Amino acid sequence: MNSSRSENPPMEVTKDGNVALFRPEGSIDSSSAPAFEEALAKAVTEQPVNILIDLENVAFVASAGLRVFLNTAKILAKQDRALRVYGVKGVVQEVFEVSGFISIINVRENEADARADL
Amino acid sequence: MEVGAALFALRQIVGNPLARLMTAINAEKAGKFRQAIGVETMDEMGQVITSFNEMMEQQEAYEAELAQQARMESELGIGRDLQLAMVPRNFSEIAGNHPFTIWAELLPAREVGGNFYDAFFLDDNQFCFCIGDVADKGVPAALYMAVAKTLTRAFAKGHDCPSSAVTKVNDELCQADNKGMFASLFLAVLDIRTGRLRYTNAGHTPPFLLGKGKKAHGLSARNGPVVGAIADVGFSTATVLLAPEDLLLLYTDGVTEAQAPNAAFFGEDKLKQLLLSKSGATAKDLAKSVLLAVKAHEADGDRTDDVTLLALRFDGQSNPRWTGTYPAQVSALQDLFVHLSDALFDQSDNIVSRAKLLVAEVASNAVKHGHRPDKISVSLEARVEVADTQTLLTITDNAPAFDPDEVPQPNIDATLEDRPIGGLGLLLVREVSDAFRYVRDGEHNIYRILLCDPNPPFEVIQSAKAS
Repeated sequence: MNSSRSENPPMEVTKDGNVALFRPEGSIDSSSAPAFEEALAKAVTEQPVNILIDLENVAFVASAGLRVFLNTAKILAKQDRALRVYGVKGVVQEVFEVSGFISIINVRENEADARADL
Repeated sequence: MEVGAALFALRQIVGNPLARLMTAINAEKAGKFRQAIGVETMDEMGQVITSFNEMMEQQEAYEAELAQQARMESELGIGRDLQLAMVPRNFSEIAGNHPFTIWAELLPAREVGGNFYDAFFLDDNQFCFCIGDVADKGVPAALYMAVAKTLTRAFAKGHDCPSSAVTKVNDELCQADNKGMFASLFLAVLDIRTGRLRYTNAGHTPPFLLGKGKKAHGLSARNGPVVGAIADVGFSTATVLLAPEDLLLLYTDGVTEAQAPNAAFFGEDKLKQLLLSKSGATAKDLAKSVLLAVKAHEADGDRTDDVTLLALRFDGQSNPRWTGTYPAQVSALQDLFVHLSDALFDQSDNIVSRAKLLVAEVASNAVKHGHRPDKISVSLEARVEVADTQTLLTITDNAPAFDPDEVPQPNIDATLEDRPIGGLGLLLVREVSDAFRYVRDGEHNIYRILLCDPNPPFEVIQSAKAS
């Protein structure tokens, strides 16, 4: 019923052509955001890929997490690359809505939707 | 014969009528039953009698009018007594041992008026109170007030949510032809366990909320028009979270519009200043002080509008199911989360996730701003209270004063390029919680966060209805 009791498990990352897919788990808050940001930054600088983030297994995204999304989206937008997220529901959905991120971050229904045209 | 006949004639003309007149005057003097005197001739004597008769008639009409007036006055007096008896006065009995006190005053400008207030329990934990003001004075307003107040109490008892009750009151008042009358109404329901105050303000003057740390807020939500004016309109419910030692002042515009002999209004500023000076007062002390100040302002001038006020002091009771203290460091957050999850073991994922999110935001704030000039290390205490579907989180830290109300809200409509990185934490605390309250208490920042479960995983057993 409750999300993970310990620290967030290591994030699953799959690279597939021009897409890097991230599957964070637990929560993205001030304690886990630095590692998350680092992983994203690494993918962004290493290869000219588009980034997909599956939030299906994320219980909540705090403001520290939103800042990572915003920073990454800004960097990718300048390089004409895409940042797309999916699996947004529950409290994550609520946070995206009240913060206005729902209109500045490309939120897709599911993985297929998120991969479309990439 | 001539003399005898002349004397007889004189007696007939003057003596007899005079005797009858004297009898009538004496009867009038003695307050006996009045009777007009028969007029037999239209000579001088007859005219005197006619005038006397007319005088008697006028006197009678005048006295009847006086009696009528006295009856009206006595009826209005009874009306006043009845009206004042309609509003509760047994405030210490109402509050009992519950963690709040309440006091109200109602002064009609005339014998009877159109102001009202009420205060009663809906069940063991939900305390309902209201204030209203009919847009008229005198007898019509008094009648309307009686109806509005009765409807409000009846519908409040049948509806958990203030807006539903106010909607019903409005519909009912709009049913009858009310000669264009209507009333403002502020209806609130306080959960005495958590301090959750849900209210619907239907066109009434916004009440004041005075918190610890001498901060006054207006309960500024407007939740619909006045009641009794427009049928089928919707009303909304606003929620605020009361903190211990909060003072709430509900009042009618007769308070702020009380006039001095030079026609100056008492005014909202003066009321606010008075309120600020009453931080920490009891409800009775606050109500009496405001009333005294209004009376002093009016001096001996005529009161033109009803003056009504209701003061409530929330004391709160802490009944935490869990309390934990942590150093204000990022590394302590994971521990805090684990303990928080444990404390909320019986709550839904929604509550648990929101609780962790909001505690994370407040705690990160304490970490970020927690550098005291005196180098004393900053720690934070988290407390969890659960009451039915409500979860109350209280986070107290000893970081320097940080007032969230002073932080500008980020523009959430900005485009990606223009979107600033900061200011999101407090936005989330405000928007994701059901109610949020900050109080600076001495050396401490106290953040109170209320979460209400939209879909509770367990069946909520309604607390027994108060008799």
